[in-house]
Amino acid sequence: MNRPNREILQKAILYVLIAIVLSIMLLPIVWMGLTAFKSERDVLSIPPKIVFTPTIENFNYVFEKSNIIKGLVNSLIVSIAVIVITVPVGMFAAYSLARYNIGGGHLAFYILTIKMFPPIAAVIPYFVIFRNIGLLDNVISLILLNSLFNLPFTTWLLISFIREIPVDLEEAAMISGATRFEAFREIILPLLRPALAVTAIFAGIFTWNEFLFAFVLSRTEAITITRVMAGFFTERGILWGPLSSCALIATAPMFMLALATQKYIVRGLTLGAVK
Amino acid sequence: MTTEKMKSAERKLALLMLMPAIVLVFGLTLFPLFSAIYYGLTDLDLSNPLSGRFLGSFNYYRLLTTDSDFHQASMRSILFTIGCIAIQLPLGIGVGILLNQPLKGQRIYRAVITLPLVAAPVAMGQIWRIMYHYEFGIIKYLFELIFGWSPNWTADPNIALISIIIYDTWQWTPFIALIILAGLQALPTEPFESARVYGASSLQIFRYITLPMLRPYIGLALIFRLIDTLRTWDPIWAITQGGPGQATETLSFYLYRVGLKQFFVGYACAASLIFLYAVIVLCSITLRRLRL
Repeated sequence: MNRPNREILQKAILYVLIAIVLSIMLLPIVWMGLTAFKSERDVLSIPPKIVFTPTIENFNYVFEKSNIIKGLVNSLIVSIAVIVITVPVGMFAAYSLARYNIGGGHLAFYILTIKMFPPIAAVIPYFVIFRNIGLLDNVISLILLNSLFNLPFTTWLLISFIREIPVDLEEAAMISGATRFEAFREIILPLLRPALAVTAIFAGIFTWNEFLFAFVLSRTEAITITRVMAGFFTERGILWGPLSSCALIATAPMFMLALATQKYIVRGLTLGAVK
Repeated sequence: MTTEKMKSAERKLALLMLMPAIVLVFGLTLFPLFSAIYYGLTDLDLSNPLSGRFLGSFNYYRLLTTDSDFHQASMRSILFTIGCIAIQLPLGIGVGILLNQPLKGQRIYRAVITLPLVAAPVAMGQIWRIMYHYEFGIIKYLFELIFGWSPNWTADPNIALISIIIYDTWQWTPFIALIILAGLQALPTEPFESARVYGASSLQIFRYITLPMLRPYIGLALIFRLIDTLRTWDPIWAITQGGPGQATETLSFYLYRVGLKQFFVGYACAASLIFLYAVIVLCSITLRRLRL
């Protein structure tokens, strides 16, 4: 085979491989979208239908029969509260740890070990504690636990962003008479704004998607969107159609946020370790 | 202001900035940790108000010697973790390299494989449950179409754990691929050029240059996957609820069943402390061996 032909063949193989990978990645997401608009008969059809008459009966069911509105509102409240708590707390901690290295790295590592903490191991004693003080089925308990489990992520991610800002900038400001805190407020904070936005979006996505705490700690009042999704198991069996439309409503906004912050997704998921 | 004074003022500011994080972290971890240590020494059972008697180390003794559910759940966690990592790491490296090829539409490919990473596992898990369904599932249908036969993905106790591993591979291979891609794009080009000049084959270049230089990135992917697979809970709940029987009951799910379904909190706390200890030891050893 001559050289140009061989290169064309190589390219073709690569495109085929990419197509396979992308189809596998997209199949469950597409299937969710299709099932959400299928009538019950089409959901149960054998073989599975790809062409069918779309219906919004599943969405009607979800909005009439389940407390999805409450779930969406609660998920929004918990996510925003977690952002409001962890981003500033993480930012101050990150600045302090990045610039002073207090505790010689041990403190930063202790914060990181929370990431290793299996949530199920934390939620059992918390279940007893919240039960004793009457915080079960209360968004406050969800806000507290999600804040704790998101703090390592916000702190470490922001440490990595702050380390990219040269110390000289603050030192120059301090030589011209500013205090350290003024230097932080006037110089670091404006530079850090995009990083804070990225951190906030990720903390929001993680909290929105969280299920274990919501499942164990909420029943009706503090029900979140992921918890609503667990409610389609009835005596009649699993309501596949409504379940899919609920899943679509829950995941679609996260897909959009992810596409907006796509550049940072690896950085976010690796706590800033990989740029 | 003298430098001494300035130094001490700076120290105070540094501590002040750390305070909220310290309060949040210690306040929210130490209390439940000590509670768990205490409960673990009792027979606390939330469905029995007379329980809560002090047992000493009896729970630990039972867990480590006679509780075969606990031993099997531990084995399943190990199997699940090894299975996930053994499949996802090579696949992720492959996809990462694939995405690094000079092809058209790079940004779109990257965007698409980002999607599984931000989808709620409980939502996607339930969608996979539909796709795995033994009557109308699309995966079952495709399998029958291609191989003429399909396993019963969620109801066969020999297959169910594999089904969860396949789900996890779908969701997390992109994560490894994106780390590898970031690594590949950060590598210097000179070693590759000189290797080509000296006539190395593509395979040799991959084996002796690319792979060693990617080592820190592979290590990072490994440690993050290790932490996350050990704690996996949501998709197991969504796809099999630990069943059929106890075929997909990993340690995380065992703790949920014993502590929060049967309400044997004392016993579950003892088990969760063993689990926590094992996770921290395992992660520390891995971190040290990888020298990250």
